[in-house]
Parts: sequence; structure tokens; C-alpha cells
Amino acid sequence: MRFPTKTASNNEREEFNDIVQKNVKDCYQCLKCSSGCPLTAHMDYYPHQVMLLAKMGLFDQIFESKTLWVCASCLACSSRCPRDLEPAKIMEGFRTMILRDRDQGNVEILDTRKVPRQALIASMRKFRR
Amino acid sequence: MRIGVFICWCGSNIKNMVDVEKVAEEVKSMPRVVYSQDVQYLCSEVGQADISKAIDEHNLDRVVIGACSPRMHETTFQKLLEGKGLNPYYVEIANIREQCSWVHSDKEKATEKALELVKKAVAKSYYSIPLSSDLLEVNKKALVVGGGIAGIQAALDIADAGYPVDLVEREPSIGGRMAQFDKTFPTLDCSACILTPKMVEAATHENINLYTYSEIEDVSGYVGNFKVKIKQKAKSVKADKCNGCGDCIEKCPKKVANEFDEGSSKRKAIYTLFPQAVPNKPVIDRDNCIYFEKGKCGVCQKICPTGAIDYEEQDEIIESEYGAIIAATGFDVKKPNDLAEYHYGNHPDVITSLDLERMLNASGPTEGKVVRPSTGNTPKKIVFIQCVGSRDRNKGNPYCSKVCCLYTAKHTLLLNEKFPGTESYVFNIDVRTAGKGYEEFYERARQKGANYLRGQVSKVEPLEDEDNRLLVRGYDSSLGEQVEIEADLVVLATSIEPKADSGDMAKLLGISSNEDGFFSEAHPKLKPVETQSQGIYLAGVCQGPKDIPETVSQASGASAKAITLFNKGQVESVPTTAVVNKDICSGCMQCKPVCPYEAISQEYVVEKVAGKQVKRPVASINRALCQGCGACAGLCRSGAMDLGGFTSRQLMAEVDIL
Ligand code: SF4
Ligand code: SF4
Ligand code: SF4
Ligand code: SF4
Repeated sequence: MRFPTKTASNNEREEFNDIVQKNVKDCYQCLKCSSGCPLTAHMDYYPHQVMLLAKMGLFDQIFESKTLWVCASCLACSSRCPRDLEPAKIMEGFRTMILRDRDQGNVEILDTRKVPRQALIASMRKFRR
Repeated sequence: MRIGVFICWCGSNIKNMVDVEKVAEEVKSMPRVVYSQDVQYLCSEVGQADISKAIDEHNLDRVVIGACSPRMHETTFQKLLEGKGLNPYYVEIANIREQCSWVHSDKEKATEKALELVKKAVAKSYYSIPLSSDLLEVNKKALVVGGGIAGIQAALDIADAGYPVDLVEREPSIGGRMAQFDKTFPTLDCSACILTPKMVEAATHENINLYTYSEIEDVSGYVGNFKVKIKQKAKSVKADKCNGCGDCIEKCPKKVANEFDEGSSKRKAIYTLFPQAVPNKPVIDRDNCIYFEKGKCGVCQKICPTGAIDYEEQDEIIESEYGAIIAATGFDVKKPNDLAEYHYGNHPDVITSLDLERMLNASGPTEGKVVRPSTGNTPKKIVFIQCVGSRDRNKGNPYCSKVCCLYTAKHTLLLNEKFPGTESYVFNIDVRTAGKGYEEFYERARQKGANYLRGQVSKVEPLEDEDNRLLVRGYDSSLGEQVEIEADLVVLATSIEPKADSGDMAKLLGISSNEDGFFSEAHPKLKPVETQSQGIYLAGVCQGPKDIPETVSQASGASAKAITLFNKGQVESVPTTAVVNKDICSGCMQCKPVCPYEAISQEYVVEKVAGKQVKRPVASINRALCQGCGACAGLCRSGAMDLGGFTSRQLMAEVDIL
């Protein structure tokens, strides 16, 4: 990855901050979130990496990452993060940003069997279906 | 002679590896051993009470101890014996911990060895003789070598206690490294604002004598009575006449690299080190002055309104006597030229943290502006690399330089504050923030936007774009990816090193240094400001990397030691000095040159040989100077030189018993 590279716009950052109400800069990369996450085997970026990317403003990498949809929202990370950053909430924040961006809920789900139920339910709740 | 033997368990330290009961039992069969016992903790109050009781009950007059190194508790036991009315040198210690239990793993063999060590001590005690020390007067004046914050603080503390101090600084001004800094972490108070008043206080204190532009030439003597030669280099400017107007500086045609700005600016041949210099009078740097090089110029003399310039002035040697010396000689910063991957020295935009510090400083070369040296423009993207030459066994120094993590955090904060919008990336191995308020400070740096990347940079190379920028390649272990940053400026947090000539200073003072060249304290935990040479104390980074608060605390600690010495007014001389047996001394004087303390001199004895008076040279020991190192005793071919507490007879007895 080479800097300068495209980083999040101010609007995107604001939106993200509005949703999560957390300061990702607080993360000191202790890796505790990733070490406790039950689903890392299926992730391309680990939770702490999502935090780091978020911190550096590399939102696009996150939006394209599988991790957001693999995350089961089990909250293991959130309950353990020594900085009280609630990584699960951050994940949720990015999911929300993606979903809002799309055509009000017309998310194309390629293979329902591969998408965690939580994600499906979350998305239905979000768009009141 | 009635000997008592005490074998210490040292909790489990000795007991686990040495069968202490067995050792105590077996030495009972040795001649003159009338009592023997093993004790859980000999150094404790209970343990000492046991010894005391045994001395009374068994009428002991020699005590042999099997325990830890005598370095640790010899004085404890000596005091105990003294309290019982025995000569303190009637105690012998066998080191069965460091030299036995700690280094062996076979209990049976370790027990055997412990027994031999104790037996040797018993044998040695057969020949122990009472030793005594003399009381020596203490000269109540201190010498502080080095005028940085450590030296200034130490001098002020001693002076405030009412004792005179000479403060020697080799530069033309006191202030040291701290004077180069802009702001200090973690409070971000301006370095000069807290330092300058102290400098002025030191210069005006009635008990402090300032020798700037001066160096120590020679040190002799011993605690309480050091004799020191100070070389006052010729300043070529008469301090009493110069009014500090600076006209000479302005008109001087000769420019040289300014060491105070790390070479990034120029100064004149006649100069003051920095604007707040104390004393604030210029000196002529004769190595660079045209007048001294070619005999021409003389501009400063012509211009000086008070006639203060004196080209004829000579170096002056000042001889003075002191009771205590504090070494506060400071440090150098590594120039990382040998770490070629960082391109330092090859690209103007790769600088050291000290360079950046000077740039940030309002009285620095750029008056507080941070610029890319190549273009003079403000950098937007700055990469910081930590541990440059620190923690690097291969090409650098193996130790952690301790302050770089925090000063780098400070730099990112200051940049953010002064030039909003600068992007800072900090490559680090790990960030060390041990210190009050330091973690919070680091957190602030992260909050304010510094991007910390975990991993070392492997290469910095010119990008060859039109901006002549740099490409920094590293790896972020959190990201698990190689990271490349196009940077405007690269700042290297370079290693702190002992002064290049710290070895010479150690030799002059007769103190030791560790393998890295930092001066060694007498004990890393219990005697952190003392050296092995009594009366010589340490303050600041000359002893090892430290931040300002720690430096100041240590300086106060060192001065407290000196003040204690002065308050006492007397010191006990070393009792284990060498003794010459004048009957068999051949007067060859081979011992004289080997004595590091110059305690040996020649004298004459007059004897009657075959009815005639004969005058014969022999060696003589100055007991006040002798430190009991034993070099002379080992060398003497006639066996005339003996060391109190370690006589040849005693050592032979140790060998014979085996
Ligand atoms: S547990 Fe919290 S602080 Fe640690 S890496 Fe994860 S998000 Fe960062
Ligand atoms: S909430 Fe998501 S990221 Fe956090 S531990 Fe659970 S699955 Fe992993
Ligand atoms: S004599 Fe030396 S110091 Fe004086 S002006 Fe000339 S070069 Fe400068
Ligand atoms: S203080 Fe920090 S940067 Fe400096 S050597 Fe130690 S760990 Fe490395």
C-alpha cells in the first residue's frame, strides 16, 4: 500500500463518527479484539486491522472487505477491548454506511447461504422489511 | 583463637543447592572451630542476633560466614563484630551464593564446593590481623564537571547547602543539551524558559564559581582531598571589559558550521553559543579565526568599543582542591551515517530529531519554522523512524535510548499544533512510555493524528519526482502489509551515546564505564549515584540515557551525597592498605609505577650493617592514598609488599587447606 493513497473524505469521516460515536484513534493495536474473535478464519482483514484502516482513513479497503459481513456481532471484541472501542460497533458502523449508500435496501445478496443470518436480520431491521 | 562458623540459607537461594546443615556440621572438625551453625537469614535481625549470642556464649574471637558476596553484606557483619568489641577485620566471608549455589545444578557437588569455600575462609581467618582506618579531613568544596542541566542542578544544590562549588564546562556557555531543545515532554513547557533562570542562578550564586570554556586536565588524590588541574582555554575576550554588545560578532568575516544548530547554520569565529548564553560574552574560536590562522584580519579588535579583544591571552591552568567530584558530562547523539538504508547524509531531507528540535526552536536556524532543507518549503508528510541505532546490536547500540519514543510523540504534537494539516507517520518497534504522565502524552499524540505504524523501515530512497521527495518503505505488522510512504521529510530518532571522549574522562577520574561507555554506578539499585571511587558521584546521561526529570533527580541525589560528606567533615581511610616490610624491601621501586593511586614513594632507611651505618632505599606507602587494590603486592619480587586483609600468609593458607 502506498501513501498518499485515497483516504476517506471529510463527509465520510463525519458520517462514520456520527454513527459510531467512537474515536478510532484511541486504538493502540493491542490485538485483543482479533485474538478473541471466533471468525477470523473467514476474514480477510482481522478486527484490529479494520481498526487500523479506519484510523488511517482507508475506508475503501474496509468497504470492500469480507470481514464486515463475516462478523457475527458476537461482541466478544467489544466486551474485551481495553480502550472500550467496541470494534463490533465499528463494524456495524461500516456496514451501515454501505447499506445507506445502496439503493435503500436493494442490496444484492449473491448467496444467502453464505451470508450470516445476523447480517440478513440486521439489514432487514435497518430497512424495516 | 576461637572461631565460629555461620552458614546462611539465604532463604532458598543457597539452601536449595547446598546442604547447609552438612557444611555447618563438617567444618566443626576443623582446628579452632568451636562453634558452627546454619541460619535461615544471616543478614536479618534474627540472624545477627544468633551470631551475637554465639560470640557471647562461646567466647568467639573470629567469625567465618558462608553466605552471599561480601560486596553485599561485609559491612553489616563488620559492624556487628565492632559492636561486640572485636576488630571488624576478624570476619571472613565465603561466597557460597553467587560463586556456588547460583551457578551450579548438582547439589552434591555444590555442597562439596561450598564446604571447600568455607574451609578456605576458616584457614584464612587463622592469620587475620586487626586492621584500622585513619580519619581524614574533608575539603568542603565540590567540583562539578559538565554544565548541562545535571551539572547546574547539582552545583545549585550544593551551593544552596552553603558549600562552594566550581562548575566546569568545556563549551563557552553552560546549558548543555537542554539549551538546544525547544519544548520538553510531557508538559510541553519551553525548555529555555525553565532552563535559563537556572543558568542565571548558577552564574550569580555566591557559592558557585563558573569555569566555562574549560576542561579538566588532571585529577589526583582521594575522597575528601582531590587535587584537580583545570585548563581554562584562552577566550581572547576579556570578560571584565566586554559588555556583550556583539559588534565583533556581527563584523567578523569568518563563518563556520554552528555546532549548536547541529551544523545546519553558520556562526562566526568570534561567537556566543546561543542568544541566552551564560556568560553572555563571546569567545574567539582560535581554530577558525583568520587572525590565528594567517595573522591577518583583526576586525573584531578594531571594532570592539571597549578594547576587550586580547589575542595574546594564554590558556591558564587552575589548580584547586576538592572534597567531592560530580561527573555530569552528558552525551552525544549518533550520526546515523552507517545505517545506509536511511539515506542520512545523502539526502538533505533526511534529518535527525535533534535537527528538527533546532528547527522548531524559535532561536534556531529557521526561527521556529519547519522546512524541507532541500527546498525551504513546509513539509506536508513527515515520516518519523524510531530506534535509529538504538536496540541494534548489529550496527548501532544495543540499549534503548529511552527518550526518543516521547520526543517523537512531542514532535508530532508540535507539528500538528504549529502547522495544522501535516501528516505524521511514526514507524516504531514498540513505544515505551514509562514515566509519569508519559502514556497520556503518547495518547494525546495519537489522538492529534500521528499515525503509528508498527515495524521498522527497511529503506528510504529518493523518489526522483520533481519535488525530490523520499519514498519510505516499511511493513506494518498490524496491517500485515508492506507500506510505502511518499514523504517530504524523514526524521530519525537517533541513538543517545556517551560522549566520544568519555573513556578519557573515566580514566582521568579513575571511575569505570560499562561496555557501552556510560559511567558505571557503584550498585545499579542501591548506589545509583556513587561510583566505585569514593567521593566521585554521577549525574545525568553520562551514566545512561535519561530524560530531564530523571536527570535532575539524580543530580540532586549526587549533590546530597556530596553534602553529606561535607557535613560529616571526615572520612575513614581504607583499612586494607598495602604495607611494606622494610626489612626485605630491595628498593627496586618496581611497585611505584603500577600503583594507580600514586600512593607509593621512595624513602631511605638507615641500618647498621657489620658495624657500619648504611642508607638504603625502600618503598613507602601513603596510607591516605592507597586504595588497597593490591597491584603492588602482586608484583613485588621480594615479597616485601603485603596487603592488609589479604596478606600472602592468608592467601597461602587458603591454598594449603585444599
Ligand atoms: S481490542 Fe480495542 S484497542 Fe485493542 S486492537 Fe482491538 S480495537 Fe484496538
Ligand atoms: S463482533 Fe465481529 S469482529 Fe468482534 S469478535 Fe465478534 S465476530 Fe469478531
Ligand atoms: S580576528 Fe578572528 S574572530 Fe576577530 S574578526 Fe577576524 S576572524 Fe573573526
Ligand atoms: S526510546 Fe523508544 S525509540 Fe528510543 S530507543 Fe527506546 S524504544 Fe526505541
